[in-house]
Amino acid sequence: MEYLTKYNLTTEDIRDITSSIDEDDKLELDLNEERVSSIIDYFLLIGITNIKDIIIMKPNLFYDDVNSIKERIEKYSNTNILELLKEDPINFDLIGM
Amino acid sequence: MTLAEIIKTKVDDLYKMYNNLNVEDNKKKIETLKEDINKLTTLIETLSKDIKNLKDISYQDISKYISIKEEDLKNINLVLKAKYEFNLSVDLTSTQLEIIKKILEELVEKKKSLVETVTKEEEQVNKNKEKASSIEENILNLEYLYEKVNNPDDYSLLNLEDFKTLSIIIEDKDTPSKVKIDLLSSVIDYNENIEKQNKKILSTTDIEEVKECFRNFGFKEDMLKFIDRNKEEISRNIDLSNTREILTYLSSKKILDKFSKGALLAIVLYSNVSTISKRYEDLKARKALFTPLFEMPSIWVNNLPKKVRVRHKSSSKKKNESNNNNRLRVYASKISYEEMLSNEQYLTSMGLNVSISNKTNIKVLETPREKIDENLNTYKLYGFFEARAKSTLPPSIFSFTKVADKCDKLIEVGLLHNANNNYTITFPTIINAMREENFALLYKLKRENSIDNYYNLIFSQYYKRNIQSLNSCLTTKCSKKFGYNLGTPEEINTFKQEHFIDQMDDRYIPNASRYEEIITRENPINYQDDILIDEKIKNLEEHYRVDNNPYQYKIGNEIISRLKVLRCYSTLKAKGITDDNALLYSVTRGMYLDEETFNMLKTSVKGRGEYGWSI
Repeated sequence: MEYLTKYNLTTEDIRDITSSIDEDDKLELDLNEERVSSIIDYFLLIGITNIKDIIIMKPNLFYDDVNSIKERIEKYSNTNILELLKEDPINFDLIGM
Repeated sequence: MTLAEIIKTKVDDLYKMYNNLNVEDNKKKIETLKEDINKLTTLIETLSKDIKNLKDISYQDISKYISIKEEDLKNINLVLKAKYEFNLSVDLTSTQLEIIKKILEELVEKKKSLVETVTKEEEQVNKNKEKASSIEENILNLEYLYEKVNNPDDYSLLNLEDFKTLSIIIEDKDTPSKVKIDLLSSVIDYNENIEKQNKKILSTTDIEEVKECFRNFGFKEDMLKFIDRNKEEISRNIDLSNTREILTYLSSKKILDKFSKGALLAIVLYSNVSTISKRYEDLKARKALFTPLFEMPSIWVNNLPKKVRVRHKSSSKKKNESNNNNRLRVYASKISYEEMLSNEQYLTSMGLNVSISNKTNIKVLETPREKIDENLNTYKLYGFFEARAKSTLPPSIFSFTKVADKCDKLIEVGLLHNANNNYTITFPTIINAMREENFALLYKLKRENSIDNYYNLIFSQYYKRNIQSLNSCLTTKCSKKFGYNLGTPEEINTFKQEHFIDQMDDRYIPNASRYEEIITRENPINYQDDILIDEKIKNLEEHYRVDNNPYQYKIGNEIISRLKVLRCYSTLKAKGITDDNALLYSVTRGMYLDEETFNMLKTSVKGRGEYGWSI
């Protein structure tokens, strides 16, 4: 999961992540750098910057395809959901993600 | 017999053995026995309390467990009714009193005998479970080997792992000697044959050769680095001729570049052209060749029997493998395509937004069905579907673990089914995401503050300006604000040791560790209905049940998860454990308690102290 350092996550952050998520999640994140990176890039692009908390709280998002995530978030473009997602990743729960 | 035939015969035998173990049927039998023990316990308690209660017990209720003359009981009940309902001056004869005494003694004996039977049955089930687990492991390994030796495209020699697998047959005392001799001879034939074809030598493969092979198929530096990161597992398991054949096949179908790196490596290590081409042609014919499937290696690896796979995946051994440089193997054997399809159908039928074709909520699709069902039942019991439409819930919640235990804690820290707050229903991810140290902090904050102050503290808006989740906020801002530092594991330990007792220590609750072992093993996600007529539970219900809230008891200022108490105590009672310690354990399980609060709960659940009812 070292590739996460390119998103300014420290070694301590990565240790925190690995101690918080389960074995399946670790494997998924570890073996799918491209997909995970494409999802993180998309989050950063739309202003969601709390990457460490998103991974810890919503590791399930990183199993999905970036286009599927994009589509689901864009469905709520007329609401303040993006602002809420920027504040706290748990707000993904509000849109069934 | 050929090597493949010998293996196939053994696999068939093992399946028969597996099915004969009847683990599930025996579990049902035990459940029925436990229900009887519960009923007997209630009967004994009711009769012991006052023999006049016998008048409310029917002949059928008693004769189900012991033999008794209907006429005798009828006469006794007539006297009791005359005396206690019509206030007539009659009394039981000494013979009738003797009969009642005998009934009670026989009921106690019957219960004792049933408890013994349950214990024996459970021991047998546990033995059978272990046996089943071992058989599953053997079937799994033999099927891998069967696939290998039966595959005309596989030119690898039998290696050490394969010999270990074959030892299942060699060491089996029921396998006839002739079969064992045939096996040894067929192994020699098999390897000689492979060697003759000069397709593969038995050794680890030089990682540079692997990289060269991939380079020849146009892979660039990023793939080579990925190979380097997994070199130990790759060099130990790769068969280069098999790899070349797979890469050539995928290239010829123009799908080679569609695979993710992890998926492709898992496939070349643990699959073969025959399996891959069958899967490809099948998906193509059904127009189901969705892009996301190229990131799921288990779709392209030989399927394992469903039951075996689910159990095998959940075994601790398998989990450890990912730490032991076998992670590509774990990745390759995650779940079968058929199981994913079945999960997709099941979850969409509940209105949840999941899809293999769009790669939406894949994690829950990869979750074993047993776990999905368990979680579904737990959320139902804990009132999630009454509070929020099932279809609006994030599907990922069905992949969580230990949901009931975490819901208990969330109820107790006032974040679930509280009159002032139902945070968990809106944000169910907190079930999985809340860190254990934050639970400890919340128990403490809630105890030290008025309810309004408590919610203000944890939900104050300031943390939002720093773009942090509630979890991080609690760990950093809140903990520091209260003079606690929960940054490192050492600091968390110190915090816990300084502020909480370990009530699961037998010094606090005698036998607590045994009870915990039982609850952990049984993992109850529901309770027997008749626990509600248990005297101890009736007292809790009467004195501590919160009005219009089926989820809470309130003792002093402490909220106790009612479902936790019912789940745990019902499970212990079914094992014949009904003392005060079992109840105290059920009440305090999982809580972060200081000594004073523990003592308050201890005296209260026994009916004494400030909040008790019989001072």
